[in-house]
Amino acid sequence: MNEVPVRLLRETLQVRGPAGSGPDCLDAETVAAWADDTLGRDERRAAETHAAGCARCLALVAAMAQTAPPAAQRSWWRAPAVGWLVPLTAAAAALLVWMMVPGPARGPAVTSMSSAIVPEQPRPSVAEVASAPLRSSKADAQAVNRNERAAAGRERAPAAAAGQIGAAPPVGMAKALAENARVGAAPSSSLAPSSAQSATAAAAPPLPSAAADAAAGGVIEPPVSVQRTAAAPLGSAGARNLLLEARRPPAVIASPNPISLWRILDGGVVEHSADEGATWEQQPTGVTVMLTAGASPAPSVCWLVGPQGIVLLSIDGRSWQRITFPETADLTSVRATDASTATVYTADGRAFSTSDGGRSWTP
Amino acid sequence: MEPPHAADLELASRCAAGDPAAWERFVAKYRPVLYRAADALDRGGGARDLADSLYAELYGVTERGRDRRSLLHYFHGRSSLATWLRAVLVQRHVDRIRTQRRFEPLPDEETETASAARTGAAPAGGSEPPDPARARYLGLVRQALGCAVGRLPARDRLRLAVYYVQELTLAETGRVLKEHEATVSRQLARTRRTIRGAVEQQLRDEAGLTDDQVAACFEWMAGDPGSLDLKKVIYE
Repeated sequence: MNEVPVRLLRETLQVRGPAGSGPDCLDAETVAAWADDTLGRDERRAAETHAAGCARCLALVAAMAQTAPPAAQRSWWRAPAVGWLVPLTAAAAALLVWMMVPGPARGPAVTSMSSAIVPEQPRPSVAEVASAPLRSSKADAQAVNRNERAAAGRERAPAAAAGQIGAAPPVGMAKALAENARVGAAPSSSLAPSSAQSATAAAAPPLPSAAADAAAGGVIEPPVSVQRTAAAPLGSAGARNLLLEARRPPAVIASPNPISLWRILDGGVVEHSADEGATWEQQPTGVTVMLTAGASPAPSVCWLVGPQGIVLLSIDGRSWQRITFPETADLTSVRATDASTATVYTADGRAFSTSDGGRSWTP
Repeated sequence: MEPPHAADLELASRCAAGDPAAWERFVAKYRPVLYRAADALDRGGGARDLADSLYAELYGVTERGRDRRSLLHYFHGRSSLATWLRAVLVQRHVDRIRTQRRFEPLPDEETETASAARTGAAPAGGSEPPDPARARYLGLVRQALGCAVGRLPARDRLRLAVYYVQELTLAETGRVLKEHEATVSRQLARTRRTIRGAVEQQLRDEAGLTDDQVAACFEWMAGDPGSLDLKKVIYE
């Protein structure tokens, strides 16, 4: 052990204060504003400093966190990470129409499309369009990264993030063109071979900023995700799932012993770490859908929940058993006190509890 | 500029002014919110009476010769009305618990255990005689630990207290600190290492202990099942 014993630390941290509130104690309005993240920076700092040394206010903010309703499941098309696709796709479609439909100022049409991209026209060349993403994909990735953090509830500035992303459509549109040119998704006659080659070449090298973000452990928006999304129709479930899964960070579930952690990955994959996250061991769960939440009340006990009423329980820290759940509702969170007692929450806000390890559930 | 929760503020104002239709709407919309929060505070239903008792104050009581005064007058729209109601309920609940605790005698066992931990004596029933060296080391570690925790930035101390004292989950701790749970986990580990380093340094520099003695201090701390009961804390 290379740390301070937990019990000793807990005793040291135990703040003993008067039973009632003091003049500096946080009032309900401040506590509520803290919970809704509407305190100003200085107010927030002052409140944190006070709560760190006041047993009553510490209990208040803790109880607020414990009573917070589960995060609402946002429809996928309303998610900030996906919302930007609407203007992006509209702009891409508009550009494609503009390129394909002959206009009075442009020559006869599709067969002369390669000539339509020569610099004498005010429109940028494909080469220029294809090179633009290299500069601005970083902005795309960063914006989506910010957006992901906001969606995770850490930074509540979806409007700002969406605004940044909303400013990017021309970039994504150019990327879509480049990808279309590369994979041949666009009408083959609409682009000259040279243009397509330049687009391919421009799209090929990896983006250094995205790689740096990945190395830093942040959630990044890989360029391939943008390409896939842009190339696929907006309503495509496949593209949607790819996009959503690519952006979902693994959920980490900690046990009371900090060295024992679980994490949820795509496709029902669960990994366990017995060394505080230094190494991870994959554990078969028997399910193939993405699980949504988990709770580990002891180092060898973990409850996991997922869509369609999936409840999994491990009582030995290695193997998983599927627990029969009375409904097929999507489960969004779980709270557990031990291997027998747990409460799961459905996406529509209902709670089901068990005190016999999942053999029976009470709404 | 319009406050961010203008609709909530309007509803609260109308309720406070005694508008029956607004009150009906308020009750229909926010009773489930209060009950859910009450159930989360006390699974046994003990907080529901607090939630029910709030309604009289929220509706407002007309006192002799005075205006009607509703608790909703104190809502200024800095948060959503649902969050504010939750905060009021939580405040009542915490104050009630703390008041009750003030009048409850401390359990004998805990007193004895804490006393044993402070003096370095073995817990009651144990066969080991008190060890003066251990008592001294325990005192030194406690003192150094108190200093190390006291020197932490308030945010780090808050994170530790929320996680270890209030025993919130990583996700809940993250909700308090507005951090992702992975960040909370990382920051907790970093803070524990900082504390450990500070304690070791103080034991060496100020108490004049050798490396072996410092190691012995922590071994005693971790291995003492009676006074510190570390295994129980970690593994149960």
